[in-house]
Amino acid sequence: MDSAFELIQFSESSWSFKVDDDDIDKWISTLDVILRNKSNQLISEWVLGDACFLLFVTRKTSRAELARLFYQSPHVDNHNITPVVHHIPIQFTGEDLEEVTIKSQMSEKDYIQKFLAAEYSVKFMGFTPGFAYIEGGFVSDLPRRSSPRTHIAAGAVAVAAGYTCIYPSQSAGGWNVIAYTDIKIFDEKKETPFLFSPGDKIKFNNLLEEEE
Amino acid sequence: MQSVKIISHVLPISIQDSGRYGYRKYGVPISGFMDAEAAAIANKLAGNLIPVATIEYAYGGLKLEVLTESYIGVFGAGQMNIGRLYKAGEWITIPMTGDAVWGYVAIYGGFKISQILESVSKHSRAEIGKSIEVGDELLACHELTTDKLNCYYKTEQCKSLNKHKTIRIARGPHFSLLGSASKPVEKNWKISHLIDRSGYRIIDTCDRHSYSLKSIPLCKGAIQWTPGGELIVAMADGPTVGGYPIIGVVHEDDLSTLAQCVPESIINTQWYDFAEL
Repeated sequence: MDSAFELIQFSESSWSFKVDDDDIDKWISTLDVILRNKSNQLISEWVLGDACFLLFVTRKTSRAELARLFYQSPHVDNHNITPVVHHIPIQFTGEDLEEVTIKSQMSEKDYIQKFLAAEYSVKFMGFTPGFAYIEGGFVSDLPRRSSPRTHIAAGAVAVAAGYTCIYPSQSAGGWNVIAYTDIKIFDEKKETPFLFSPGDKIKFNNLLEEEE
Repeated sequence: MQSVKIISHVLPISIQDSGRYGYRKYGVPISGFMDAEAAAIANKLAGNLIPVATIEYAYGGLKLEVLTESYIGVFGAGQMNIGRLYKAGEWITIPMTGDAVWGYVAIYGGFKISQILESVSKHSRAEIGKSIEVGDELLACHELTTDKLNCYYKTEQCKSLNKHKTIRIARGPHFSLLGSASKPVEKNWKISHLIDRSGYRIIDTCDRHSYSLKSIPLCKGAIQWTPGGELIVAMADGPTVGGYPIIGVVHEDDLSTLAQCVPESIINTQWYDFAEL
């Protein structure tokens, strides 16, 4: 890889790894190639946040060793990456849909139409297992609810702070619930327990329209 | 087969191992032992060279009945330091304590619990892993083969729980946000009553703030500075990403010491930069 990056040691065995936003998908591919390579002894795991990666490494790994590993990694171009695309059927029956449309100053019909027209991608995951911070859309830049709900059902599609999310399991939460899906995005019993992975693309479909 | 039954417990108990690695990018914390050093000793007392599925308790208050002859090691809170063969019908009673937080009951070969995402560790908040309750009977993975049993530790060789209370902290990416109010460096730390497997809160250390940051990935030991002025040290079940400033990261080798600090205890902090090591 030849794109720019910054490495800052974070803990005894982790390094903060900052790259350009536009290069994140390329670096996800590169890191996955490195992790699949059996001769890799340096990096064991990575986590992506909103602003940077955290690389979990063998203790006493140096910046030079990591940098060498990256410079020697195969070059990945954006057009070489075929993103995984998920189609998620949803029903706009969320408790906060009305409030969200009012705050967004548009009719429910317009809001739904615009929500469905947009393309989304998984920026990073966290909070609870399988919880994806989904980027994109047009008007998720609402604050969280002033008083969080103590019970949000699994499959709730919610918006807040510039992101959309789907609750992977029942939990408390402060996001504004606009819709629901029956798709399980986290199932610990499955061979592939997580439906999403950072970098994946998502398209929401209206379940009611699909049935018509 | 070796086996024990849970007769009673005061606080929640759980099965833990060395942790669940490889799933943090999906938001799954590593979980695992809160005090890996104590858990390793309990396992050695039970004849396990490598830590395996072990019962973790908090503050004692746990009673077990040995159902069939078993080789068991107990180490940790309640000043437990036992490793021996138990006959069927014997009881193991761990008193309530306030001098340490975590303790471990290990059995030769480890407890037989099915793995989820390659680990048996229970992560309560996400409901990953099996819960154990009063009345549960836990089997070991191995038969007790006394001739092969290799007891790696004798109880008298065990060190007591780490009592020295200095923890080393590397300055974190947002340390400079503390500005002139860099009190956490100067002051001893006081552990709050709000401690659990996710995080340890430190009180009376910092001022309030109103920084709002993008979420960045965390590791165990990362110290987040909340807007209310508390510090939260991420522990085994702690989040994989966080949006509060990270002012430091506790040295990995000192996390066991921190984990055993009871509420209200005072700890010294020794700050460093990575270049210094």
